Amino acid sequence: MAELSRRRFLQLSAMSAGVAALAACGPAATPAPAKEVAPAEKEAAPAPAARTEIVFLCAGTSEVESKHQRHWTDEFNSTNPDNIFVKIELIGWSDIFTKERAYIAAGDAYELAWYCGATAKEKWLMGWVEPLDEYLGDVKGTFKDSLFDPKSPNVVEKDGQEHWIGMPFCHYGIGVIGRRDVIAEKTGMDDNAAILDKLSTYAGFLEVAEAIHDPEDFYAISGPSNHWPFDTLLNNGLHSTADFSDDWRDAYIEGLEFVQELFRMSPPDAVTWTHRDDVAAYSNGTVGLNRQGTYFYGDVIPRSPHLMTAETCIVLPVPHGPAIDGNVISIGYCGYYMCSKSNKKEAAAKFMRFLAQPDAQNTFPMNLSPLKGVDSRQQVAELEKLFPDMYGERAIFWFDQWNAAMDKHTNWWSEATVPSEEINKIFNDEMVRLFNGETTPTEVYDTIKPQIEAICKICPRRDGKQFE
Amino acid sequence: MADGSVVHKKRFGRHEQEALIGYLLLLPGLVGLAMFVVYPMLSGIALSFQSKYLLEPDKDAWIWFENFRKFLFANPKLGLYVGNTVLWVIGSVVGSVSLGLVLALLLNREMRFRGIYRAFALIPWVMPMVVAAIVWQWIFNANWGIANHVLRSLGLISKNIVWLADRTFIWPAILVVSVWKGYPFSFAFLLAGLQVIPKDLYEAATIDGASRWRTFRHITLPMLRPQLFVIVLLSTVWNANEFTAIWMLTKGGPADYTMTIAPLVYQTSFQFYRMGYGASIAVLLMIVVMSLAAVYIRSVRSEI
Repeated sequence: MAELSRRRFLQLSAMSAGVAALAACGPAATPAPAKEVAPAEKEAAPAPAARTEIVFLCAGTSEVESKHQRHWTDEFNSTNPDNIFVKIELIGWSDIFTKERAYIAAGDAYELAWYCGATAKEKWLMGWVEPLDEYLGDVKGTFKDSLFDPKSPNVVEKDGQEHWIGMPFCHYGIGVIGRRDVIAEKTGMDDNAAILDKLSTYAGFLEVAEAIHDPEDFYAISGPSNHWPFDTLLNNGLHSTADFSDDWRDAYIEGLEFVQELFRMSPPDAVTWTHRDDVAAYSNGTVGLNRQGTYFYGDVIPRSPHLMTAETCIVLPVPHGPAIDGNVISIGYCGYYMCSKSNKKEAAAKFMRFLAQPDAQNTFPMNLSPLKGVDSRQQVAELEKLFPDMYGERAIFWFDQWNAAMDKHTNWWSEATVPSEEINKIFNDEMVRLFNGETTPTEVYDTIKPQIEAICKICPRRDGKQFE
Repeated sequence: MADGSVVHKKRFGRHEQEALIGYLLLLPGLVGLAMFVVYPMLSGIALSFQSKYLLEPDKDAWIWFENFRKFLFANPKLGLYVGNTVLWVIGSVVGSVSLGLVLALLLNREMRFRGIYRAFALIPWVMPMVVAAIVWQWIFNANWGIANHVLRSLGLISKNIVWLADRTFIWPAILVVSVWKGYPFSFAFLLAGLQVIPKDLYEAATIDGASRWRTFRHITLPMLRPQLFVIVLLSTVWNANEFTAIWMLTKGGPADYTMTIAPLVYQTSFQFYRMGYGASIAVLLMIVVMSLAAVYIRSVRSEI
């Protein structure tokens, strides 16, 4: 074989690089000419629209949620007449913001993204969210009225006008899930009405918790340490964890004192738990009273179906404190928002409209339907089509109990503070110290108040104080 | 020329030709370095001088050293973050280098299946840190982890240890993960270094009646100095910038008890949306690590 000289090598390399550069800079390939169609065919079959690809970012919070999102994305892709192709990306919950930012920074914005709680409002402040009134205004009437409450996570105000920013796929409530069988065994209360009544107040709740607490085999209260405080404070009259209204200082501290009692009956490692550890503990049958939401059925049923029956499980509101007379069920929505930086908004709106239809809305597992007029039986029947092994008659108790709780008790918005992560961090760090016995409720209040007020953007308060 | 004088053309000599070829061959790498290292670094430095807070997009401004002032002089947790970072770096470097050295010494001996043992010793290195962290999370799980199961079976503990929450154990636990992940690099380097130490030095030491410890101290260690220099330097830089292990294991918690600078940068920038402030913390970390590296290189270089 002839040797390749250095000069020849360099010449060939330079030529290759030049050819590659020319190829990259060349014009786009000329599309193949359209097939000639006979006149009769032309009238019957209009030319297909050019394919439009849109990006749909979803947080993979659970297997069942991902299955729902994939199913309806595939349905849309195979049936929509506009040749829109939805490219779905499943991203970890904690990484979705980074992914959104990367898309926008690259100048190629996504079209739709998942949100939950206050995150849509945060994205609105960043200038990433497109109001939906113009695109989906005609379907507003099919959703529950609470969706469009000014305090809801789906509505923002600008220049005196309210804008709808998030289309939900679920409507969740937060309460307590209790091991009904253990409560019955240890307290003798076997009647749901009696259990609900007893556990509705701080005092009654603690009494039952003490009765079922049996460490290390069984703990009365599940973690993590950041789940209980939010709703405990709402159930003592506060409007959020950032509600430092002067007249409600004592109520705040009272709520933290109750939380301190709950921590005493939690597993020692619950201080670092995340949602999945909470789920695992309940599924393993080692905790009795778990602050959870309507989504919890789907978390537990795949692993421990025997714990998700009317005999073994009861839905309770978080107990209320002495500052108010009744219980509060905090509610929220998770959904999808349209990115204002996208240049395919019309296509995105078509997909959102498809997701807004009852078939898609009512088959989202784990949570209540955000549509008006959907009762438990209807929702369960529709869920059974997509998840036959999980839903059906067996799940009716779950939806009945949640709907009853939300109808009976005051509803309030959960996770309504912005910036959510930073405020949660300040608050949760003190909850860890409270859990470890390193601080007191009063010290916690005095520590977090100035820190949180310094960074507040949206912080619901009793005294109505607004922040910039 | 017409007047008869001779003009000597300046020829492009062989030396210049070779140098040009060298630069041309370096060019792709330099372009990549510029695109993926230099440009992002300069962008990050520029960002550190700005008040980029994503929740206030209309308030972006050049605030110069304000972010640095805020972190260095107005952050009550500065001492905690710096202390944690120092503890993490020292613990990881000393642990991984020591373990790597011990294993290199052991596996430098003649023994059966030595090749297999050496291969096994490299396994932590090839495992992605994310995977390793998840595995160790399960090992250290307070209720179902194998660590507690083994210790209870041996009668060494009567109650489960909450490894990743109890302040007595959390640092040893996460340092175990770091050392486990980091030792193979030291092991591989040091093993290679051991194999080039002339055997006659050891023979001479044996003849002179030197003990094993004296042999190690006066022959092995000095001969391994070049390798140790590189390993310590690189391990220090890598561990100072370590994000994945801490984020996966503890997220810097509980309550910032294990928060070091690298995960703090991520949290500040991507969870709290304070991009300019986060960039300033990253720039400070870069300056400190570069300075330490420069001091170390300067002080040790003459001895190698």
